[in-house]
Amino acid sequence: MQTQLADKSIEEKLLLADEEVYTTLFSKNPFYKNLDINFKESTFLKKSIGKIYTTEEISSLEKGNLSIESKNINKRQIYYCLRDVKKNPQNPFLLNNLGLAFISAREYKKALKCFNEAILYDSTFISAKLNIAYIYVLLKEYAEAKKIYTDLLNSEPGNKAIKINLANISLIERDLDKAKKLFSEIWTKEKKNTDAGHKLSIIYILNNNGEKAISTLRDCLRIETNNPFLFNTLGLAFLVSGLPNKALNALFTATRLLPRNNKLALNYINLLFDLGKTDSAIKYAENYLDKEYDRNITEILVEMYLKKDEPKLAIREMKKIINESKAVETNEFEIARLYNNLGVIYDRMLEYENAEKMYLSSLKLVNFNNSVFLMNIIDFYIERKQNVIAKSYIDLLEKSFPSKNLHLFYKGILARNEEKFEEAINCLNEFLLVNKEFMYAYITLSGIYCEYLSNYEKAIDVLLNAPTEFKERIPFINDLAYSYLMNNNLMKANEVLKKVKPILNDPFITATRGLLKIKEGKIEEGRKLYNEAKKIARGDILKYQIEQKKHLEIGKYFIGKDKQLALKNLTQTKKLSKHQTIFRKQAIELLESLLIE
Amino acid sequence: MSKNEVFLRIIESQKIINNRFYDIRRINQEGGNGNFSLVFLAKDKTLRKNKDVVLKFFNPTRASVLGDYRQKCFEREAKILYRLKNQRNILPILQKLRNLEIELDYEHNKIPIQLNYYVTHKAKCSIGDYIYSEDWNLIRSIRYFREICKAVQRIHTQRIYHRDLKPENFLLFSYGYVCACDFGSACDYSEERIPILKDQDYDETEIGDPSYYSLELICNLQPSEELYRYSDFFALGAILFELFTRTRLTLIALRDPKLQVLINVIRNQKIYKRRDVFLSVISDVERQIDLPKVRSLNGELIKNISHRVDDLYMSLSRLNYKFRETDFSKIFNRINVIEKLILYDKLRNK
Repeated sequence: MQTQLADKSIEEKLLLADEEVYTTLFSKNPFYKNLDINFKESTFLKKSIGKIYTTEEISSLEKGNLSIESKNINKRQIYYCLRDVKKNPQNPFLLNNLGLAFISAREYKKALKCFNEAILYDSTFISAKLNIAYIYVLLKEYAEAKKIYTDLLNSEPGNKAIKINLANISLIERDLDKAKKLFSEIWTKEKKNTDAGHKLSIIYILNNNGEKAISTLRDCLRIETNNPFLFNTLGLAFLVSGLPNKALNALFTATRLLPRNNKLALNYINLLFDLGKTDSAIKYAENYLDKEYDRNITEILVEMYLKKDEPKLAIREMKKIINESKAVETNEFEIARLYNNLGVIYDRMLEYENAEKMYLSSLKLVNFNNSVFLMNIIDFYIERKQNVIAKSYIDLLEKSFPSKNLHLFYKGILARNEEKFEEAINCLNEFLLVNKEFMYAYITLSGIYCEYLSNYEKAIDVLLNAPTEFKERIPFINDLAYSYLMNNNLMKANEVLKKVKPILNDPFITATRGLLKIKEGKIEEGRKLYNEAKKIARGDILKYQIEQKKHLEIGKYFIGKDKQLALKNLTQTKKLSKHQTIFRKQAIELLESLLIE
Repeated sequence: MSKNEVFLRIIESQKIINNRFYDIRRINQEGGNGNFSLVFLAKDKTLRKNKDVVLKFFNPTRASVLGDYRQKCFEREAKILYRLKNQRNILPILQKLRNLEIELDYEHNKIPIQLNYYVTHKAKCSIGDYIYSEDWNLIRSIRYFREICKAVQRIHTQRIYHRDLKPENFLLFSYGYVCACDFGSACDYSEERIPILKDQDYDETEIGDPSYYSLELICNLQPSEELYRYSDFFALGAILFELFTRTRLTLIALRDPKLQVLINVIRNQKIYKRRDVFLSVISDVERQIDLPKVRSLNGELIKNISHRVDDLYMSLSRLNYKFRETDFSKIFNRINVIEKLILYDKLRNK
């Protein structure tokens, strides 16, 4: 399993649910896995201005903590509105104003009381009803808000504002069909309503209908020619349609129109990075960070430095993030997450001592009570073949998270490494009974069938029985294609590999493509792809493995065709590593049988 | 009994003031609407039918607030009103600042106190009262807005900037005649100004009703004539919005979290830096904030009218003050078009 960079906590994600509700679907496709659609929720103002506003300060404001000045102004707004209401206590409009003042002061209960009172005096007062619904939206009580909007829509079927609000809630609740219907109605009637057009195009993107999204967004852009958020969504639409370069242009325009928006910048950097334009991405990120600090962009910069094999720079930035966070971060988990991530970097740099230190620091901060951190350290010890320590942490994992059965996954890996395949398969199957959503378990299980037991049919079967959402993810696609190839089903393998865009910078997929070429008899093309995979692979061990696999597969191809070439390649496989790997073992077996012949 | 009430009773008990004003009555329990005044009705012997007039006294209980700043504001108001005497759309002052000598009982001692006051004509009601009354309608609203603009144009041409424009500060007289009043926060650039307090002691937003404040005032940018002129236009836009929707603009428009961030960031700057910072980011902010449309709050408006009202109020109340509409001839043209459209719509419905 790959070492995981710990993600933000679920609670935090929920707080951001409004804006990031659209992101998870995108993780299907790695081109845009980290991109998110921005509406108008940017935090544009962090610097430019002497004092650096940290993300926390801004998010706390956005979440509802008001500054002293705002509180003072709100207090006085309430005073004036209240004074008017006292003069004329039964006027629904004045009560409505007072309610609005209470909303500004985040006093929602009082606001609700005012609006309800306003409705009492004028039962047809739509604004007050809409404001009540708005409070429910703010409180994330969508069902209540929906009820009010639906009632209002029944009495006023043509009211656009109500339709938009209802559609927005449907979008948040992922009721895409309803949202689409409502936004379409508004958009067809009023082509100038770019907000409706924008949201409609987002729904098209969520439904993987890139073409429709593009045409809708182009219509919107004809009206609002310099709206950066429209360009941002256009970029995503291009990505869905498989046009990454056009997407890049659109995102570039968005960043030019609104250069200080961290989310637009993040999207652009992410895409550059995914398209392999790491140098440009680094340059852009560095320029952005020169002007203002942004944690997300710094984190992506860390990853890019790692990819560019500049771990020292990566560590420098990571330490910067940690220092910045220590000053403002009250959440210990967040610090622990950063320590864990720094550990991952050290791990990749092969600085094992530091990596271990960081992993342990992160675990200490959370009292050894986080499954991701525990899994990372277990992975670390298993890779170092320190099975005894790994086992102690596996026991801790079992003790701390007994219901999750996570320990069974590692017990399976340990059993596999000790060549106790039956035990490994049992452990993994038992693990999968509880953790159906854990993709790497399917990959490990199919790997045992494919590599160690040569039961390719079973390997394919395991993968095909996995949940459908994995079938779009790169490691899964790669494994499935590989299993088909090993089963000599080139057509199916080709079909599966076509799901992945050709420009992808992934060593595994590139190597699998190389294997396909070799199996098709295009040895040179295959060799070239394997070399490319080796080039982009991180870490010496992986590079060796790719090289071994290349020679093994070329050797296998020549068995029965050209004994000398077969022998040469298999011998090279054997020579490449002193450690016993599965490929070396396979090569030795093949060599022995060839020599016997 | 509160201190306020003591003064209210003493003034009420006066049989005649200045040998001219009698039958003195308080307007309501609090005495007046202002932050620092006590307002009374009285009959004027010199007027035909002894008509009611308004006596506005400085409230001595508020004298200590912000040093003597309130007192100066009161004096400035009387001074400006007197300067603008007999000009159209300005509240007519009948008598300039005078003193009323009263005696205050304090621990069985009589303490003589002088109360400042001035006298103005009495209006029917304020535009604020009209907006929330049953008399409210579109045609009156646009006509009153024209009058309001005329008043603002008049004071601006004399380099006076009101700084607290709101429907309550426009009084409605007979035949739809509207006058600007309450110049307590006004700034007169035509002569040596009454100095406003220094930045560290004084915050623009601590005075008046913040519901009509422009963003630059809330951000407390460094004061200048230009800034005050532009802020008055923002308030005009907000008044137009309220005249058509009966809802206060800033209660909807300025509650966006992005603006809260902006306000917080700008106010954390040193005062001389604020304007540059404000102008450097405001275009980006403005692009992300949608001002509400009048039609979303007043469904009765037909599209043709609502678009024009939106255009006018949005051009007056732009967040970036540099781009606000400040040409009164254009504003009046647009008001005329809106008025004609409303009349046409009314006739068509008939």
